[in-house]
Amino acid sequence: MNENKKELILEVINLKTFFPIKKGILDFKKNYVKAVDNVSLEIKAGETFGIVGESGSGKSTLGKSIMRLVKPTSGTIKVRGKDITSLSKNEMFPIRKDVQIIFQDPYSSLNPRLTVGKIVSEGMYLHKVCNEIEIKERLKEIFEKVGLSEFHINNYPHEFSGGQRQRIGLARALALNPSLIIADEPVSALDVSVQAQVINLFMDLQEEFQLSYMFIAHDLSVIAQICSKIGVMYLGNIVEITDRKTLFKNPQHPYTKALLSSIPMPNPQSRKKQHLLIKGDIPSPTNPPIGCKFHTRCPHATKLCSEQMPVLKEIDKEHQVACHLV
Amino acid sequence: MNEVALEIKNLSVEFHLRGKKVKAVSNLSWKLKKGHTLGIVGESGCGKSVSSLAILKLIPDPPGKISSGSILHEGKDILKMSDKNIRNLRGKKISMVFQEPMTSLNPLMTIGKQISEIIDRHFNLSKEQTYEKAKNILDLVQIPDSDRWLNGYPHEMSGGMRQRVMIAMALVCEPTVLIADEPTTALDVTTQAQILALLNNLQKKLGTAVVMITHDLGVISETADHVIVMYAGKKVEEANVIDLFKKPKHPYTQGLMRAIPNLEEISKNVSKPKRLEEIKGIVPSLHDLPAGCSFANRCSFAMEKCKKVTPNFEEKSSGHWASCFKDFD
Repeated sequence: MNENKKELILEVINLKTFFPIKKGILDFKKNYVKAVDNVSLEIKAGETFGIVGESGSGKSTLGKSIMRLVKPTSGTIKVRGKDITSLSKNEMFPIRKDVQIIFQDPYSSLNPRLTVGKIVSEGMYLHKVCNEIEIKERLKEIFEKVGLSEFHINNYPHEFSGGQRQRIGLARALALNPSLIIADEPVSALDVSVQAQVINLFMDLQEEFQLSYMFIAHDLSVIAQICSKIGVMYLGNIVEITDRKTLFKNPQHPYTKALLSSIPMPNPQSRKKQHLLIKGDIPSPTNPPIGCKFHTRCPHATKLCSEQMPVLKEIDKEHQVACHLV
Repeated sequence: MNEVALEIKNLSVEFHLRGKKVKAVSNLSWKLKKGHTLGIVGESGCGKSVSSLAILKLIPDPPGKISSGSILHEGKDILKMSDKNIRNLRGKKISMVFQEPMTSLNPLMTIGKQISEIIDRHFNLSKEQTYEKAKNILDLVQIPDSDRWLNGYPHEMSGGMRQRVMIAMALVCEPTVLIADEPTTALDVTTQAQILALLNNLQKKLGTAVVMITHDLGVISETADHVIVMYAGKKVEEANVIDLFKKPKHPYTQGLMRAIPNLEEISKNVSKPKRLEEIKGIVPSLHDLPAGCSFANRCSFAMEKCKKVTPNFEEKSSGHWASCFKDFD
């Protein structure tokens, strides 16, 4: 199929999510944490879009804003062409069936008082996807799909390991037959050997059900493994967005380069003499630098960078970078 | 230079939980040469942290118990020392950096106070000298504006800075051995690279021997000279870092290496995401370890014998040890 003809599942246009900070009751001057600042992206059917960034870059808030779990300040979110940005709770209800989310922490995202069978089937009851007998059948089927046995259905979350819990999270999301799953750091709490199992499961299920994923992670190697298109976030902005090949072969933004170079390679012979170290920490999002937000840590920063914020510009087909120097 | 800074011999640590005996570490031995870095790698529950806590006798007893073995430092067995002597050792000769920089600093004390506490404990210095020493060590770990931070509190700092403070506290007495237990796991990659570079520089400057405990093979390959792979409380492979990554000789190590997404390979072959090679199943519970080789039920090479007899830890090639019946060339 031609790439361009694939259906657009998700379209995010100039999304902003700001959180107000109040200093005191008499202080009327409101300040904002710009958690997501002017983010635009598209996810096509069957595509895996990766969002990568360090803590505080706003990647989780972006995921939650798309799910309308936090209220976006402005911008547009379209699911299959339908604008969902300002739908009411009731109007959102059918959309939630189509867009599901999986959270990072498999220990706190499952209700400890429900059996995992209940957790997984709750959505099916709510959305009345089928009758009770069919739900039970489907439950078994889904459990099998995610690599759990049907004997587990009546167990409670505490009886499972981290990897199994993440499978339950995936089962819960899959139960409603969604077209898009937003996965917020789904493997970062898992051990290496289990992480590989869960990543493989994600890839297998995608092939079987033609799912689209938005995969949020801080680990570029995980993102590289699974995503076809990748957006790099820094302090609420997407600074570079491109396909996987270009990102690794020809990264343009200094931050992307630094991220790539910071990853320790499991090959002692190519032990790098010197990593491309960037100085300092990510600045506080309450008080981001003026101009390019990265200029305080950027090795190539010029005067222009500290004055004017660069916009995302297309430098190649499907390759956008927000940097003055590119 | 090939003197031994720290040696562990046949260390076993047990925990008595609800009447059950759990062997967290069994029969672990290793040697750390002066100025070298020993990497200990393994997944959660493999005993890597417990064995390092045992070095400084930090295992809570009960429920924990060091049931056998010896830990030799400068010719003396730490496990036979009196509590008072161990207290003189901790922080002075052997010190530790923990994983969680958020919780291992005291939130009610200024950074300066926390550092000078250690200096006061081990040296007899005047107030000014203590302050000077604390300031110097903060400069050494590259905390900008060290004068100001001596009066600052941990909550004002970022994760990376807190970990720098932890390293400063560990190195202020210039110990011979530094145990770093997942020092960068809670940090972002760019910060991780900074901290690893810092540790590396300080190690060169001070000649400290480092025990680097981590689950991340990438971190191991960047820092360690010699590596131990642990699984279910036992050492399953040991070699120098080049040999280990070139030709891992235990199926578990091989599996681990294939299970991590390899960026070098991905950037070469970019057409379609490939499946990762996974290790089937999960780490067995330490409550009831299977008979024979603990890895047998997840191993693709497992034979009948593996499920009955525990393989010996033997030298497969020069300086490269593994506990497996099969020989991998």
